[in-house]
Amino acid sequence: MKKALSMLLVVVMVLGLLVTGCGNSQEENKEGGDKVSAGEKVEGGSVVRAMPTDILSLNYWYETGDEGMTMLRPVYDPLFIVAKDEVRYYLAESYELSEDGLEVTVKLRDGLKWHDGESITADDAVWNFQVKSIAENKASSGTKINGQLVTVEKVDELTFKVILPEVSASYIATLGGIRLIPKHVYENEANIASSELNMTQGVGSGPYKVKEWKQGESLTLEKFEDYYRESSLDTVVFKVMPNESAQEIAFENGEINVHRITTSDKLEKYSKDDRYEIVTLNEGRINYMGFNSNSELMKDIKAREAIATALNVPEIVSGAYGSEEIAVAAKTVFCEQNFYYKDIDGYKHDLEKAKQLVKDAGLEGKTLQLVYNSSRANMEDCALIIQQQLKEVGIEVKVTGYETQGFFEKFFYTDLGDWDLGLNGYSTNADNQGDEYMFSNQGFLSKNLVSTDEIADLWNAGDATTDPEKRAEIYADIQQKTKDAYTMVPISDCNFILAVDKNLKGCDAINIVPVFEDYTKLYMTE
Amino acid sequence: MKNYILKRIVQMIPVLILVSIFSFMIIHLAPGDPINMYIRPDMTEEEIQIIREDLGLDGTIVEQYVAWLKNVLRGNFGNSVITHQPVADQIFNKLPSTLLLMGTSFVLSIIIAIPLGLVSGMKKNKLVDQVISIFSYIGISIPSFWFALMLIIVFSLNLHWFPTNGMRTIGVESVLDVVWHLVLPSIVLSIDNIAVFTRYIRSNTITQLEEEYVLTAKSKGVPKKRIMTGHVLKNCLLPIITIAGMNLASLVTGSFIIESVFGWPGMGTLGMSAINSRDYPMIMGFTMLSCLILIVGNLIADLLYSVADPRIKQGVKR
Repeated sequence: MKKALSMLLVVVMVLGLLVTGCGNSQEENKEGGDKVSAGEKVEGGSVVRAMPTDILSLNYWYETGDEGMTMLRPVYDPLFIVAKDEVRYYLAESYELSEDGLEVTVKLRDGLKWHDGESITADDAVWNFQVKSIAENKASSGTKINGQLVTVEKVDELTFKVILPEVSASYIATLGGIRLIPKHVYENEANIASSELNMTQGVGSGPYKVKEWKQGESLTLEKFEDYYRESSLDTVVFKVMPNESAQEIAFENGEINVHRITTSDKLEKYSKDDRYEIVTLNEGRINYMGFNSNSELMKDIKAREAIATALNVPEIVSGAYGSEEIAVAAKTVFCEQNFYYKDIDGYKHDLEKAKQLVKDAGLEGKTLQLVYNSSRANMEDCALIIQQQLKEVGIEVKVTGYETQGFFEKFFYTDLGDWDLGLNGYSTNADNQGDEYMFSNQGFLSKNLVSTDEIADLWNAGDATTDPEKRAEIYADIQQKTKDAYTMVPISDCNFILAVDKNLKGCDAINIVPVFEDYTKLYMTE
Repeated sequence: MKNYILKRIVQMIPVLILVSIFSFMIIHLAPGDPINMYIRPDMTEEEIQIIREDLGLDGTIVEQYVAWLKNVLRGNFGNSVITHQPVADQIFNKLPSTLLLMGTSFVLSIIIAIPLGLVSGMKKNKLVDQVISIFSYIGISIPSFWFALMLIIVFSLNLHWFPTNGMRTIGVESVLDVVWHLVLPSIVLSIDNIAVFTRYIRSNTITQLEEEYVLTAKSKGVPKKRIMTGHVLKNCLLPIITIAGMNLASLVTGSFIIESVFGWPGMGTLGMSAINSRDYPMIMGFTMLSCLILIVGNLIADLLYSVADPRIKQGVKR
């Protein structure tokens, strides 16, 4: 037995040495053992990114998750991107909105090519709208306004006109974001969604074309020489790596060039390492705690007020994210990158007042169910801190995490009233009327979340006018009314932080998500 | 023997049907709906219904099951509701990489476990036995994902001997490159099997060495090496046949965790993404394949057992 114990000790020591060995090596790097200094721009090179999941097909239309869209973004250019202070044109050279706000005329750039060498024309655009509007093709985004189809007409070889059924100010941004697929490739397919071409073709319009797709392994893109602008990198590679720890190790091993950071300790670690550069992009995302309007307890505005007053949001954000560089406390339904953001005060934390409100609302000693998406970074930490803070005012909280599909089913699609509080997030970094669907009593996304008829009317009014001043007033009113009705508690306004290989530049050329909007901006240095 | 095989094959049918019913029910009970992947906020209920019908997700769970079963009986496992491609094609595309990984680790386990188990059994309670036993316990108890990460940190990150992930270097098509990528995941997957197999063989070796036929051989002066290789080894390996039969399913379905850590593009990753997106046809295809292989594996194990041990064959005859 003694011998056995001594052997066990030896094994533990060996393992310990191995692990210690790892630590020493990293320490050496931090101390400058592998210091790399970035130099002059060099043409060529490759950027490799890790993705937790693979694309579903080579057709951008059918990517439902962020990862898939990220991988195919360099392959398919949008028409244009409407940003807060500018419009960035890609396939489109310009767009013009008629005075009555009911017609948008889009002019494509001359000489654009698909990746197979065919010209991109207005015929492609018109055909895209036609097939997108067929429900069986499962790609209807951008073809409807309030349930009514837009109509699209060809004006000339490079110009097409989109006629709207009613004024929708936010539609311009939606229209600009549409990715076209080539008519000549797909026009004979009975159903685009189930077409085998989706798995084999990938003929796009962007700066990089598909070189090789090994399903479940990698997607390799190469520079498209006939693109209308110059790209510096020769290839862009996406490697499928489901495990986050493995992604990080591969990043440190130099196998990938870009790595997302979601915690303050990782931010500190990579900030100190000379081999990397920290790039901070605006995520334009508000994470919030919603109240379930189908929960008997949450129907009472006093109950919602009690909870909103009990929560110390800056403390939640500080505890869950650890650094203001990663996230700051949110105050309203919009983030700062929203076109109509207005700086208003968030809910004021007041423990004594909250205790009284809890008593008045009959919440004392009650147990509330809090659900969150366990697949999302920092959500669990937020949930646990909220649990702790509500305990201080006499409310017990049972916290339950669900993976993405299960969470959305509970949060949006079923209305059983079997949860009271839910943590979710949404992107609101542009002219984002999409938020309306969650907070306006309209559509199935608002089955559970609290809103009022007045707020719903304001959302409609905001989209029905194209006058920027009027819209600014309306959206400011939405922010205030949403706060007054205690529809939700905004928690965090996040940044998207990346650690990148120091030789890779241009990552922050467009300082907002998605990562990256324009791959022609990326280049390597010596 | 033919009757026995026929009887076992007939017995497989109700098992497969029951498994399919339970699997179908369980995946539909899980919260989530594949239709959610297609829903956009501006869609009307009518549009959603069209998509639901198009994906075969309308009707009650019983109707959906009957429709699925009818298709399967015609040899059609349906299309993935996410990629819209045939389930069978997608499974068979991933099968070779999983077979390669799991097969390699299985062979590695057998090759290493047999001598270790035999030596451990022969040297019962000696130092060698204790060392092997400690390693076996560690192998059984060590969490595979942790061990995988440790190997990656030591051999990939620090020593740069092996790649951290993937099945091949992008742009390189060579057998050696695949072998290079195969080393770490197959070691991780082997560790648990080596430990378990070693324990089985050790225990059997100890039992066999106490049998009378060993005593007889010894008294007749048969060399120890010959006793071990010619007599004891064959008997010791019998339980391995059973374990191998049970392992056949994992050879095909892969390891969800290890494939995920090493980014190995096999059945495990396919299964994981199907579960995450509630791709019912894909999950069913995957589950039924695992079930079929498990049952067939057991059948093969039983048949091999009867070949290896004539006493069992006599039992079958009776």
